[in-house]
Amino acid sequence: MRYVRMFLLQFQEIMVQRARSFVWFLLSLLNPLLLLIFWSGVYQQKHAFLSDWSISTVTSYYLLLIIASSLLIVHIEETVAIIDIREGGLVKHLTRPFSYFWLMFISELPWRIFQGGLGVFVFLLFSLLFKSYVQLTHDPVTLALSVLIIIFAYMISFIFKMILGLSAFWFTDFWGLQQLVEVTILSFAGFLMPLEFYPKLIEQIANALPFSYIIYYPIIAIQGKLPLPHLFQVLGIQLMWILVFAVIYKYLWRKGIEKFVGVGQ
Amino acid sequence: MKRYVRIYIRLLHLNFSSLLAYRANFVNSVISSSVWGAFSIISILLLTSRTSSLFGWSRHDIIFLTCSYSILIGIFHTFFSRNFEHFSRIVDLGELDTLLIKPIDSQFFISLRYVNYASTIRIVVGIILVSYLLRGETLSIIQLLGYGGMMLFGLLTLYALWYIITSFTIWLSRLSNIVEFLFTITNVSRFPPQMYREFSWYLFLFFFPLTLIITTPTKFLLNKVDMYSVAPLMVTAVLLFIFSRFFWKFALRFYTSASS
Amino acid sequence: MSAIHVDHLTKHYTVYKKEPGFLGSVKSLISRKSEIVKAVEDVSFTVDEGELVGFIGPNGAGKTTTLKCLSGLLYPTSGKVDVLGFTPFDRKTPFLKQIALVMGQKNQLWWDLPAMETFLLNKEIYDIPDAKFNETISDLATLLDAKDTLHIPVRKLSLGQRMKMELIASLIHTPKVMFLDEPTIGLDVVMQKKIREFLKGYNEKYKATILLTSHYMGDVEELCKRVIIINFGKILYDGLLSDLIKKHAPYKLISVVLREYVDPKKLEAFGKVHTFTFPEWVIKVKQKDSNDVAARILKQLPVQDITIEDPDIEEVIRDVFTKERS
Repeated sequence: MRYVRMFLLQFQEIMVQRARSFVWFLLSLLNPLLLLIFWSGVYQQKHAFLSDWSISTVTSYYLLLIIASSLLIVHIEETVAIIDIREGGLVKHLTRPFSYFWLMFISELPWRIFQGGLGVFVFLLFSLLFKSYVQLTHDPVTLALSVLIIIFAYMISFIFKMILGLSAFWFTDFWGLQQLVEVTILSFAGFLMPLEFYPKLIEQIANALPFSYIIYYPIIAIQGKLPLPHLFQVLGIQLMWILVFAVIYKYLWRKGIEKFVGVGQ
Repeated sequence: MKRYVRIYIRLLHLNFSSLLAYRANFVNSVISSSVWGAFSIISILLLTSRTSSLFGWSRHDIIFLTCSYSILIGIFHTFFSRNFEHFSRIVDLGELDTLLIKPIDSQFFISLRYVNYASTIRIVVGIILVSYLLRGETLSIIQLLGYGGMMLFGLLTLYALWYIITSFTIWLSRLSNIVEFLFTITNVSRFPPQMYREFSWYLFLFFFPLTLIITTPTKFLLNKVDMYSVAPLMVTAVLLFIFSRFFWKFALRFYTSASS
Repeated sequence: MSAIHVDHLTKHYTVYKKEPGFLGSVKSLISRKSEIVKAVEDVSFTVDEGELVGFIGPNGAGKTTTLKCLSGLLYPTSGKVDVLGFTPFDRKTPFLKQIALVMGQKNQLWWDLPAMETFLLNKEIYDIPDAKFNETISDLATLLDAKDTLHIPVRKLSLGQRMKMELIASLIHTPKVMFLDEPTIGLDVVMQKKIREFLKGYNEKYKATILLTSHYMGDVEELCKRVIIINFGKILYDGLLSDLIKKHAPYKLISVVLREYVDPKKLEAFGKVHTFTFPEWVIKVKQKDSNDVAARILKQLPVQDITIEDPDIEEVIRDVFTKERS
């Protein structure tokens, strides 16, 4: 029950900071739109860029990217690293009967839902205005599995960012690391363009990293570009990443708390 | 005025001493700058990997545009960005009061107080890449002067735009993330203006000042300059700068009427 | 020569209200209620060159707002303000070069560097010649007993040491008029004394006009001969501190330590009992009667010790406030 209250409290906070929330949303809106403009120009010249990527498919990709980046990219690492670890705010969490992990989870979720909601709004607006350009799957099984993929994607995103936040236990250079990670995610999650467009080698690297499973695969799943066996494969790999990160998180948390309490911050 | 020159030299000095005092911060900034610099160049390489020409620009020229962007944004980040990031704190924490009490132009001090020497790495990398892309070509003095001069006007335009938008923080002090927004929207200037014009005239008009910033100086080195290329940027730069001063004075008037 | 002249100064500003709770937040998305706060209401006074005046009032009385109007940070709603012949709000350079505003929590020192670096920056901003700069730093540092902390990075200094550096930074240009907002807030007793001594010394040495706000009685008692009491934006009293007592609390407190127990009813005959916890007893007596009553007490009661004191200023001022409210 208390988790529900916390959830609602965060929503209130979002209302208070509505202007700020809106600016964050604009950020996730701008780059995909910019790239969409780029690609529509490219498609004027070459009518079929890659075998099964028409201008509609590309447009849907970037529109869904707006939703994906607002909904699935978690921004908790700064709070964890700076406010809780660096500035010692963690102390008050340690004495409470809540799990820090789930506390952070509940406080981040409303923001993601709010921003994701705005993304959905933009998507629907666009679909109404330009019906021919939007491409989504209609198959209910694919849809259901895609929803699961989205949920798993969120989990990977969240746990990974928590781990990144925990790095502040050991690193003073948190910002440098954080920027490095941010650019890596931008490069390999499918923010720039569909991973299929990359040169083969880079596409392989992207598939080996977890980031593509946060953004790229959920998008193409919901576009219906993945046949059933592939969907299950994606789910399997996502589950693997969730388990790997969960184990890493638990370990780092234990070690980190030892150090944190030991130093007496 | 000579006093302002002396003040700025002292600020350069202070910032350098600060850098030496906090080397960890400097390392962080160098990593950030390098990483973003590399990303902007690699991303344009990937985006244009399968096309040889777009929007009337060859692939070589589009990449050249991004490298020029690196130089300009490097200069911008070195001398201005940190000040814009600091801006919301000035309003929120009442630093603005301390500033207004001093016999110094507030816009000058707010815009130039902090210097981020780490961003010079992007300037250097940009210059190296630009030189590499132009290898084997002979350039006239006019071209180089034009490039440098138009860069300055481009900087002025970018600065004025950022300052006008950041001034809104006086009314909406919660919008400290507006600086992030500005970072993102500045990316618009990396692409050829034709890209926007082809998509939508309204969009092109909306982004007009940004589209001029990098493309005008670049045109000098790519031999695409004509009589009508230079004037729009120069006029835009001057007009926007004057407006930024006017708008700032207006914002200050509000601040001094409404704060407690 | 008047350094500061305030004529019917009024300052109002609007504040937006939001209802609490979730629904309130949603409502505030659409419309917000606004309210006008009357921070300063028809305030007039004059301060001469070299005076040290204290502004007393509870939180929200209008002290800080008045100070900000005088220093040019706030634009008055109506009225005239004149400081050193300038209109503060114009914020002309020659005006700004002669005033200083020191506000407790706000700092201007560069955190990672020694305070001296910030002083050098201010030197350029105020356009102070080298010789004068060195002289001023030396004088101020001596007055504040801070010569050895000038070259230590600010982040390594204690709060008290930092306050001293902030003061020097604000006074590099030896201003003719100084506005201080809660200068000793958050400092320990020793530091408070030091700062007060410094201000007194500065006032004497440079003949600077000092206007300070405080809700510490110690600040006011030690530094200010003249006080302006302000509450709800209005001036309740403007005059000498000594006159305040004469006017609003023309009584004295006689403190007695009794050798033997005395029935309290007997004590009441001498005057209004202020406190009685055996063997200590304090009574309130009219100022003109105090000597007579003291003599009678000595004669008639078993007294071990007796003192006649002025009333506590804090109490007096509190009385002024409560009187005004009724």
